[in-house]
Amino acid sequence: MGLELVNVRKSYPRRGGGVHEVLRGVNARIRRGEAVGILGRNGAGKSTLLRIVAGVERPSSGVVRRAMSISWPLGFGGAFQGALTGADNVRFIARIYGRPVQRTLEVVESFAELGEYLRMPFASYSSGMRARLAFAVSLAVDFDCYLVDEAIAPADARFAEKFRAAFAERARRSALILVTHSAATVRAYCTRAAILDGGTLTFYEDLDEALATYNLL
Amino acid sequence: MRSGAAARPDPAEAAAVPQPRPREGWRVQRRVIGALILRELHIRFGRRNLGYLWLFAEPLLLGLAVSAMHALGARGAGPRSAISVFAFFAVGYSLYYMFRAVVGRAANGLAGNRPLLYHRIVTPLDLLYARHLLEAAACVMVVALVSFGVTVVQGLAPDDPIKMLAAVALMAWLCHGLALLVAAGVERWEMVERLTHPLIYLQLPISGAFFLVDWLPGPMQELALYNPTVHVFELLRDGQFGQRIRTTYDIGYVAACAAALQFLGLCAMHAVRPHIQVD
Repeated sequence: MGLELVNVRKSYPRRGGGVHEVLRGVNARIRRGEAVGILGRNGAGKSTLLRIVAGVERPSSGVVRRAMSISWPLGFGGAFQGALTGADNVRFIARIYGRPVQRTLEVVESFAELGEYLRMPFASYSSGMRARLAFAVSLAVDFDCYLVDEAIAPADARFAEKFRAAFAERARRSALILVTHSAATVRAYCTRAAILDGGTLTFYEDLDEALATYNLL
Repeated sequence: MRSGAAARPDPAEAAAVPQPRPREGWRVQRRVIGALILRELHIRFGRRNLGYLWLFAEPLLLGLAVSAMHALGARGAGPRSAISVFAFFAVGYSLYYMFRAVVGRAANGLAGNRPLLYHRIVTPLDLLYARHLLEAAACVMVVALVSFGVTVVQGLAPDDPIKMLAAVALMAWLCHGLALLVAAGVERWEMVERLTHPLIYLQLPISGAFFLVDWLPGPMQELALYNPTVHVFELLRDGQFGQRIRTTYDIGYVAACAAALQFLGLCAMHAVRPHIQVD
């Protein structure tokens, strides 16, 4: 059991009439224990796809079946309130997902290593610090499936390694969906890869084949 | 959008984040709304405990200032009744404040909270529910404080506190429906935001906050009673002043208006849901 997308389409109204179709029938099946890299050029619809998987946006048509808990799209923006401190944001997230507030905060404190920045407004964080907080709190909440939107890049190498180690520990029971335009990131984290191009998603069981195809795009 | 059969968890899922299944929906929503209320308090009033006082100090001060101005301006003329001008306006304004707070802020109610919609379990409706509950609770406090003040200063204990509470509840219900319509409208047409400000100003003199139906000439009375908030203020004042004044209200009419507004508001929110931009 995991996540299933059946013929998912998404279009947006175009300024001045007409519609812009971003996704034209995406099908996917992702199970626990899989780490899937979704490759696509800028504007291919990667973020849109991730937001639909997360339930932030609804597909124009098609079905998303979620039989596991799914994180919000971990990226640069969203999910956090700039005026509140990092700690207050963590408290809020712990509360909405029904997690013990104090323990969640302790886990985040030790994992994100933000020091006294945790008590400062989220708006004052650098993009690397934002990524660290987002990963730390989502790991503390403990989802079945993590959605990562290009956000590994701003975190420094040490933290990226830490995230990979933490994820490896739960790799058998968790799933990872990572969207990126970087082949190296996919190689570092993923067991399967897919390419999003022209509004459809093509899966490759073999990483090398996927990356080779992607480089020809 | 989960199929029933596919959603059965395997044993390994037991420790994971519970998915909001239909049966759990209400529990999850209560948790989310509770967290939103706490968060809104933190943002608006800071973490220091004294900050929370502003929640009712602000409307209270404003209400007292407006009432004092009316009391001074109306010296001599005044309402033709046995109650003091000051008490009359203070009680009225304390409830009008909720209309201003809920309907007036509805236009940007979603805007400031958009990042939170990144969490699938937080819905636009939850954001509005949390805010409205908070404002209604603050209004109960303010009305209670004003009423207590009138009791102490003027020796007029509230005639029927239950009626006053009912008035706050009905006002909250009316404001809720209207705020849903405004919040949904703004997502569709930006100019709705511009329309809410005149609505707040126009509503002030005709809301019933500052007059009794009894003071109006006959045909005007009938006209005034088309406005549901007029009934609410009459009910509030009946609760405070009882037999000292003559009040006219129809709770059924207010409830029908509120239910209609809420229904339309929910429909409008449902209609704009796919168009709400997350950021």
